Amino acid sequence: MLVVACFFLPSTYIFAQTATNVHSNPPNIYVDYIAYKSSTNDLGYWIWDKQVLNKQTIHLWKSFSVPESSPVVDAELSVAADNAFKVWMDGKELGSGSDWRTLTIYKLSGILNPGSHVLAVEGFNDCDKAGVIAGMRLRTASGKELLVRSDTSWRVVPDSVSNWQMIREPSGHWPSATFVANIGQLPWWSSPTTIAHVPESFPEPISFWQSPGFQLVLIAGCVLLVVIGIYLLIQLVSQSKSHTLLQIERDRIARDLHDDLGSRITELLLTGESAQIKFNRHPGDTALLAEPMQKICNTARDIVATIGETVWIVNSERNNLNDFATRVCKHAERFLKPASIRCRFDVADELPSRILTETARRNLFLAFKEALCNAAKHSHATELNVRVRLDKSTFIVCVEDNGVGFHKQQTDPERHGLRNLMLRMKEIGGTAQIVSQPGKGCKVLLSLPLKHSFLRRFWSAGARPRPSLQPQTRLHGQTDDAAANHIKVSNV
Amino acid sequence: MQPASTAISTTTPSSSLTRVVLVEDQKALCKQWLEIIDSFDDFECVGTCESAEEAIERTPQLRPNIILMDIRLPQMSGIECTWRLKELLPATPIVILTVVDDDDLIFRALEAGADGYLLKWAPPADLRAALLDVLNGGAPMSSVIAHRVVRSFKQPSRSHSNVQLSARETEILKLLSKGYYNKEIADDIGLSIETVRTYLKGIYRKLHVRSRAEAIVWYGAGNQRLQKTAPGR
Repeated sequence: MLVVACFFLPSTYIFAQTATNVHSNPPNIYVDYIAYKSSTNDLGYWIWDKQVLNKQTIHLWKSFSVPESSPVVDAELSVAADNAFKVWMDGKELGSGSDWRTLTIYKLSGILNPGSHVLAVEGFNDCDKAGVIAGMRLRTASGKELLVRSDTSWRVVPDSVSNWQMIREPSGHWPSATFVANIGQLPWWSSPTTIAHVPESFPEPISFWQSPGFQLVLIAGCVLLVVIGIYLLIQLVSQSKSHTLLQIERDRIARDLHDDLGSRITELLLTGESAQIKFNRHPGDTALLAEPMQKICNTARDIVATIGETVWIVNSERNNLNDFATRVCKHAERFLKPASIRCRFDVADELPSRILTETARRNLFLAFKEALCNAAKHSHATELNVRVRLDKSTFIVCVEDNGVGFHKQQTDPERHGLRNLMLRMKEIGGTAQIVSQPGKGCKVLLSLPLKHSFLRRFWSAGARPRPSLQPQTRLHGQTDDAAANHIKVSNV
Repeated sequence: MQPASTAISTTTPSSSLTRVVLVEDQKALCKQWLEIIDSFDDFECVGTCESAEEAIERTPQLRPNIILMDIRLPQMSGIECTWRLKELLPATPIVILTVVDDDDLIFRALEAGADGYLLKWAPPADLRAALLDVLNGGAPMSSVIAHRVVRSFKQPSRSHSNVQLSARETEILKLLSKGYYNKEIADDIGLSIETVRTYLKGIYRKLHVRSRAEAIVWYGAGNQRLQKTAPGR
């Protein structure tokens, strides 16, 4: 798509160039040597600037208006100059001449719409005497005739004025043209030796693709194509990126299901099998069954809970901040119940319904679990506070216990899973702040800025889960179990 | 495990046992539930229904003291079934059973008039405790559901009912949503635990009344229309 656009743009430029050329091309001129009528009737008198110099160029300016009510049906402009001239109508060049014996006549009816117009003549004097003579006859639809002749009402535009041919209103300090001689007065002719007829100076009809409107549309189209191309390209990149992310996520879920659920169901199976073997060996001894039965029930319950959590993480309908807060509270309540740690919640009444991506959801939740797990395992706390809030656009989950606390320097970060926690938060562009002092409990502050989440998701390259994190990141895996067992033991 | 008594028909109504009706569409699960309930000394399962439609038809004759209702049923959902049974048997408590701990569903069931909820995989002891609690006028409410109830009452009512929570009720819900137990709440605001339970029951009722008008639009419109166009009226 980009390539096509690149091809179009230069060609459009060429079209534009051609179009302007068509307008300014001098039409074919034919010279009429024989048919001389009374062309001089329309002319005024020879005029020039007050000063006459050799190699002098002057700008003569005259405005006139065509009545609104009656459009021009026929117009002829005659010009001659000693030594040369160039003539413009409303800033558009009509042509030029360089022989003072020749009268050039332009047909203009096509370009004179009702309204005011500007006739501009640049005269050039090679040496000695100088003059410009001009006259224009307009015939309107109502049959009225209008004459514009060279006379002292014309103005001489100073050289310093740029684009003078287009200026509609004269400036007060432009001097009037000076009378030089009447027609027929020597050294000039009473009638010109030659008359050059310049036919209608209409621009040739241009094809629709050359019209400025079409070219504007074409340029707009090209720009649109480029924009669409870039947009599609971005879409493609982001799609392939999200596809990769999805793939990674799918792989992870598959691995979780296999590692975690697979091994637990196997455990279930083996417990049943071994109980059966024992029972077959000592038929009638029902006491043998009590323990394995209990174990089977507990494992099965764990499995159901694990499935629930996996489904929650994958479920795209439960992806906003409120759902996350709910899940966090629920988990804390369930997890801390056997540990006889009282759990308190401080959740904002209504969090804005902003979306957490699956990766953010998973990592934040697992980081939270890690923090909870640490508290359950090491803190000996009696009460634990869970706070969830949105601070401006930073989502904050805080876990604070009233336990024994620790010196950060003295703690092996590996053992406490604190490194894992930090890595997880870093992976989703957040931070984990751990504040603790011996005897003063521990506070884990997980903050995730939600601003520009789209851009971050779009550009962040590092969404690939780190392999080093995997062993400890079961959804409801051994870390929790170990902690739960630990708790149970300590309770007994 | 002790083989439980499965003969429903042979059980004669006895005033000492609590009569339970179970609504559950999966036969295997239903059988297990039946055995577990019958294994409790003070409960008997007087009937099982495999669909909401069957439950609506049969339950009134079974005269249960409590109904256990699966939330996911074929055709009519457990939530709608709860609405309809509450119309028929307003005094009979209904406990919702769910596999997934989905508070959205649970909340809707509570709106429908359910008196409690339970995860299907909860240990039998928990099931018995929950049943007894509901029968004794308890209204189990987790912190998450409490939070949800507060939020729900803050929003303008969909049914334009003017049922609002009292200041005390809101206070209790807020404490619940902060993770306080009923006992702690009672201590905190200087009430007896029984009074707290009564308040919770009241909140359940308000939730139900508040969403009732809307529910009639959803579930009852068909019936009303039928009645209106019935010949002879």
